[in-house]
Amino acid sequence: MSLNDLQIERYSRQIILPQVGGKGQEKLLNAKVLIIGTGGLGAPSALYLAAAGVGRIGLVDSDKVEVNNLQRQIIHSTPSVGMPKAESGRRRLSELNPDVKVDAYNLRINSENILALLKNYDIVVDGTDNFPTRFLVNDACVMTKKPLVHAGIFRFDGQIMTILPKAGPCYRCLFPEPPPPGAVPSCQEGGILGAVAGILGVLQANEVLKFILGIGELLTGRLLIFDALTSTFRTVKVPKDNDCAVCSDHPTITKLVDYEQQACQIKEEME
Amino acid sequence: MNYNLFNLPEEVKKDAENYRRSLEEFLADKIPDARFKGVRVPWGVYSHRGGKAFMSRIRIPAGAVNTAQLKALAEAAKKYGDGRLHITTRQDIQIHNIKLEDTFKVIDYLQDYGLSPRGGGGNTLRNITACPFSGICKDEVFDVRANAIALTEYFLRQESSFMLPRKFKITFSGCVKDCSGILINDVGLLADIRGGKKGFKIFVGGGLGASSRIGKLLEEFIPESELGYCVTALKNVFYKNGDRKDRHHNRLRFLVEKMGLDEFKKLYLSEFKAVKDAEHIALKDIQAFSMQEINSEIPVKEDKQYRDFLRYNIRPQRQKGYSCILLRIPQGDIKAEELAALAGLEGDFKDIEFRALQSQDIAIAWVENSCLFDIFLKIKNILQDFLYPDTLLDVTVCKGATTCNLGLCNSPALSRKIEEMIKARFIGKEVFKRLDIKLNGCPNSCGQHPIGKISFVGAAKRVDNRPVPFYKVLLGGRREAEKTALAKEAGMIAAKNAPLFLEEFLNKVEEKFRESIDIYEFLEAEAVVIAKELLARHAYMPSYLEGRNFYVDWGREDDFSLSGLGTGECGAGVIDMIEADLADAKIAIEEAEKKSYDIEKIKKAFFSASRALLIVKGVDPYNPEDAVSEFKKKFVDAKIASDEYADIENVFKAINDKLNAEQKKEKFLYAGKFTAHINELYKSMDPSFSFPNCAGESKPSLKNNEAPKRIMDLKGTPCPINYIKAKLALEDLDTGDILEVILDEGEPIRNVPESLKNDGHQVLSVKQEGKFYRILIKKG
Repeated sequence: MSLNDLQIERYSRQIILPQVGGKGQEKLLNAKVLIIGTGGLGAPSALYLAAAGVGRIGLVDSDKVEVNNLQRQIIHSTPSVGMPKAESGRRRLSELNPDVKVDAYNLRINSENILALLKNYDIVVDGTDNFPTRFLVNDACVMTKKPLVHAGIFRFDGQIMTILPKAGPCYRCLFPEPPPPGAVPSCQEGGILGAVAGILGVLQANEVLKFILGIGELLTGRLLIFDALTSTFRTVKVPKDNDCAVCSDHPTITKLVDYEQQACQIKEEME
Repeated sequence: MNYNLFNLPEEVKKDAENYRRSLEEFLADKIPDARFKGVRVPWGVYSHRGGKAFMSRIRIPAGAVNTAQLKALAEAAKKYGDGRLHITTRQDIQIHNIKLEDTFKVIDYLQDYGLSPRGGGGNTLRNITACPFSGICKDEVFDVRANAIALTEYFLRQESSFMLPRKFKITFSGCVKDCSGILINDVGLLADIRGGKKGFKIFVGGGLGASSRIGKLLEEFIPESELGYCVTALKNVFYKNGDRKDRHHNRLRFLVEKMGLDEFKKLYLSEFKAVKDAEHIALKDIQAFSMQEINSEIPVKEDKQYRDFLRYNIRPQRQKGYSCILLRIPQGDIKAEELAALAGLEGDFKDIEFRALQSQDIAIAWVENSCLFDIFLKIKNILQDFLYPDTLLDVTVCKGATTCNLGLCNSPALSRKIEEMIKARFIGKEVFKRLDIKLNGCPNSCGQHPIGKISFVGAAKRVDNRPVPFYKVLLGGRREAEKTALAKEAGMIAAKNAPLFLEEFLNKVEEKFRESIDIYEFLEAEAVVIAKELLARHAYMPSYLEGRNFYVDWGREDDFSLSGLGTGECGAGVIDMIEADLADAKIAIEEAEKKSYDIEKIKKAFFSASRALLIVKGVDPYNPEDAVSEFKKKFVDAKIASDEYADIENVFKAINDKLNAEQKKEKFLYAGKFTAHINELYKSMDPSFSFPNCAGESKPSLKNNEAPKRIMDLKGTPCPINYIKAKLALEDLDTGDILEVILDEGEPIRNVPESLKNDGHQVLSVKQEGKFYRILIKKG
């Protein structure tokens, strides 16, 4: 495969980078990324990945676009309100870059459909908004050895970690179990500043690009924490848990499970 | 007195022959203007505004000029100029309105009197100035004039003094009153005596201009015996490190600023050591002139003018019985017959000695006190207006838009207007005695506005869609050794309102002066408030129809305009000469192509291209054969240029009108490639005119077996896409493979090879083909 003139022009500013070049651009065009959730995190992530020329992007979301999403979910726009989010995202990405093939999955992810979805992609972006799905995605990625870029946001804070199953710690090494229902913030407390979601979503895209290109250092075994109020980043080392229920040598979870979640928490606490 | 302190070195006299030859070539249309300018300006010959007439700036080391020289200057001005001379703030004397063809005659004529304009302009070591009262002043530590002249003779012998990155100004002051401005020169030397030994405190990096700076202390004390090493080291540091291609930020002050004083000092000290190890510099021991003290009384007369003369124009000398007379020369302009007549005073007062002053005035030293009335009467017959030097009336002013290419406003005309006003209102007042005015037609500081107590700087403002002459008003400048300070801007005033504003300002200041205190404190605080209030009052500008008067500068009838304003010439030099040749070569190539490989044009390209860089090797050949063979010697044999050109002399000799079309084309392609190679070499030239050595560097020539694996035609492909395409093509090749790309002229040829080099590839050759370039790149 070689780049055509339009592609050279479109990607010129990254081809110029010695670490990218024509070879790197070809890697990007051949890459397949699954983005679970097209919300505050998935939206900016998907836009940057599509713009960079990632050849195939899968968007998973079961919701419809609502007006209150537009404050942060910048892949959607006002005319798309009421449209399934996966479809709205597909349209936007296709407009942005016709090089990208977009698969829209208007479905709610669960223990039964997730493995079939993961199969067709090289790396996963976790843009989910609830703990049951997050744990499900982590477990499924570990079991199928699929790289996963996790991120979470809450009010003015965000965190991100890249999970390379077996090679580094997984989400369960950090948090063994989903929190009990009463421990998560109520609806009223679960606000978020749109730009904070954007920053973390773009960091996820950056991890994915580095992974595809094979450059730099990924955030594996390191949790990057962002505090928007002081504009500071810090990283915390995350060791691999030798007794991790899913990624250790003696796992206790060998089958995917669907956790329950209360309605309000599903929507708001973590996007 | 006809005592000669300064002896013009033989080297300068011999070098004048080069000027004559260049002038002849130029007049015969054999060399372009830009090239001649590169010779002319370092010979102190500047174009007047309009380019039709010229000015010759004669350097007067330390301002010391004898009567024979004064007469010769007057004679030259009458014979070759417009009969007027101008005294500069650097103690030079200028002759104006000379026809270009007469400029050599001026050089030739004055040379016999030990005077020369060599280094009067351009990127040269300019006139070395010194306290005008050296040797006679009551306050001086010792007579620094002898040092200034000895140093001048030493440096004038060196070719490198005329090939500096930018101008280089040195001055000496005999005491902390600092008549010479040690902190406003590139190098300032202050006389000091330690342990019974003469020596100097050294300051560097001062200078006035569009970005003025105060000098910084470099050395507390160097003994007189080390003066030559010290200044040579400073000159060398500047020679090697000044950024020749950026002439606007290329004075010693920018170098000091860029590297920091500590770093600069390190560099200076290591250079000082290197100079001392390498050469023995013994400056000539010049005996200062002096006379026996005498008993001589100043005559008392009931004559008001004479009383003012005694009060304002006389400085008692250190030597009992003698006085020094200061003559105020308005605007520094004096007629040839006046100057000759002043020199003629020697007939009646035989030991008098003349000096050119930084205040654009003339001093006559060694006048016996008893002769003061007689000489006063004689001077009165020569000069109209000479009383009150060193007062408010003694305005320092540049030549402004009258003759200067850079001048915005007609500063001499404003000066005359201001002087009239001062004469009418302020003679004898406090402000008259304690303030001074410096006036500049543009932000360049020939009129030294940054150190004026009250200064005006020409500017243009657009009002009613028309340009209007304006002046910036500055206050509080000071020239006084380590207390030197730059004047601060208080506001702007329309040129036509400037005299009125000044009058009101002086009136207000005079009121305050009675109880007033430190003059500089006053100028920094109270005076600024007064000025700002008055400037606000005069801020109103009428429309053109309402008050056309404002749209016409002083001394003019027509509307103020910026037309005729040109670039300054004083930076002209080596770089201009190189670029002129490179441009000529390019034109010759283009024309050769248009005229079916015209051999004259091809020869011209060979000539210009091979000569272009020879100037930095001190060779300036005047015919193509010499240029080509000198190039071979100085560049090919020295392994600077590619050895592809080892045979250039034979290739050139074989160009003749018997060549067939195919052979002509071959020569044409060779010339094109050669020209491109010279351009590359010029680009690689560092600020001190050195080239990376071809032998040591990887500048391989193309071997025949190195054929390109792939050829990419990138004509019409803009930056950076052309680069990206080349880069992508290289990715597909193996290390060591060759890619050939064809690039457009301009940005592509400037950027792409450089970027590919940065990526680790090797650029093997760059070949110009008309408007395109063929580049061979080896994958790294």
